[in-house]
Amino acid sequence: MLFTGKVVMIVDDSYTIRHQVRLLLSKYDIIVIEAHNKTSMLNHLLYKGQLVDLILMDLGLKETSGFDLMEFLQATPNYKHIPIIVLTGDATKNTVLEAASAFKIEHYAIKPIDPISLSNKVLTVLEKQHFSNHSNMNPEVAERLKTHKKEQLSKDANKSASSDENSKATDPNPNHIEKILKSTLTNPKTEPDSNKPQKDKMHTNIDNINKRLQ
Amino acid sequence: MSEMDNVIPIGVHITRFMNDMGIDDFDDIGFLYQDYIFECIDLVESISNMMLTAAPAEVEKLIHNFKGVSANLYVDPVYSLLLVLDNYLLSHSLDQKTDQEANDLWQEIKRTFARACIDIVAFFATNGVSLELNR
Repeated sequence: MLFTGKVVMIVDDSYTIRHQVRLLLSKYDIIVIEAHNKTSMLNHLLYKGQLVDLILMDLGLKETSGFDLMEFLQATPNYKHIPIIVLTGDATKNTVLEAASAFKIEHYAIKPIDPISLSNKVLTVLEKQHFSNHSNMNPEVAERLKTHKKEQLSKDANKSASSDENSKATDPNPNHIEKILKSTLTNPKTEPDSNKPQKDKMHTNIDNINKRLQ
Repeated sequence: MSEMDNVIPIGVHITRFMNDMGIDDFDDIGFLYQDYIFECIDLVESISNMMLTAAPAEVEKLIHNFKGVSANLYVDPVYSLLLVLDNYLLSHSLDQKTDQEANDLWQEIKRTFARACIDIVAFFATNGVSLELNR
């Protein structure tokens, strides 16, 4: 498959967002490397002796900002050709333009992440990079690969389009939730009525969470 | 009335999120929401501590992160309130303990987040995946 084994690095200080991106791109057999700051980014730019194929860069990092990291990457000959997609929660034109003009960024994604849109951008950049590295590829093969990508994205989009109906059918109703929680709290060892794997014991101690949050 | 009687689902759109992600494995998505719960509990604790001390810039940054991750995982009620607080902090200089409006909003966010966590745990319990509220 076109994207199998491609390596994408996500630089973001939220481990939940890094996890989300890893999960999202795993559908395409893309390997996702996680970094939360400059040091971890530098430690993982090489994966099995090869530079990562793409970096997803959050601009609002706690320590060194995403702008500073991009500046560093572009000033380093070995790294300056790695494509970057900027992730920003600041959707103002200035922020995007600043990144685009100063760092020749072609793609950016606004947070909150739109999974379909981000997948599309990542696949587009990887595809472009792949074809520029394999400019002698048989046009028929190239066309087949492009069609494959379109089919994958279209499948995701169709799935998403039907989500509203599915939500109504599967999201728990108030009474059901209350019953489950009551039964869990009074009998924590009760197994849920499901054939799905049970990963951990259930501990829904509401007092505990409220105490921590007060 | 017990605390349980007050539990009402508050609109965490997990099914829609799963559809948009194109992933139908409850285990995979459950682990992601587990990270959300743990990371945000830590954020809530840090923000609460910082609101009592003088570190407005840090508070703003953490609230911004909390807002971002809540939006990403479709925890809409928490996101909506954090958006209000985020905008408030951007347009006011936080005057620590005296800033009653920000503090009241923060208390409401904590309550909403706690209820969202309970909803998330309940949702995954119905689908055979156990999540924890404590590490």
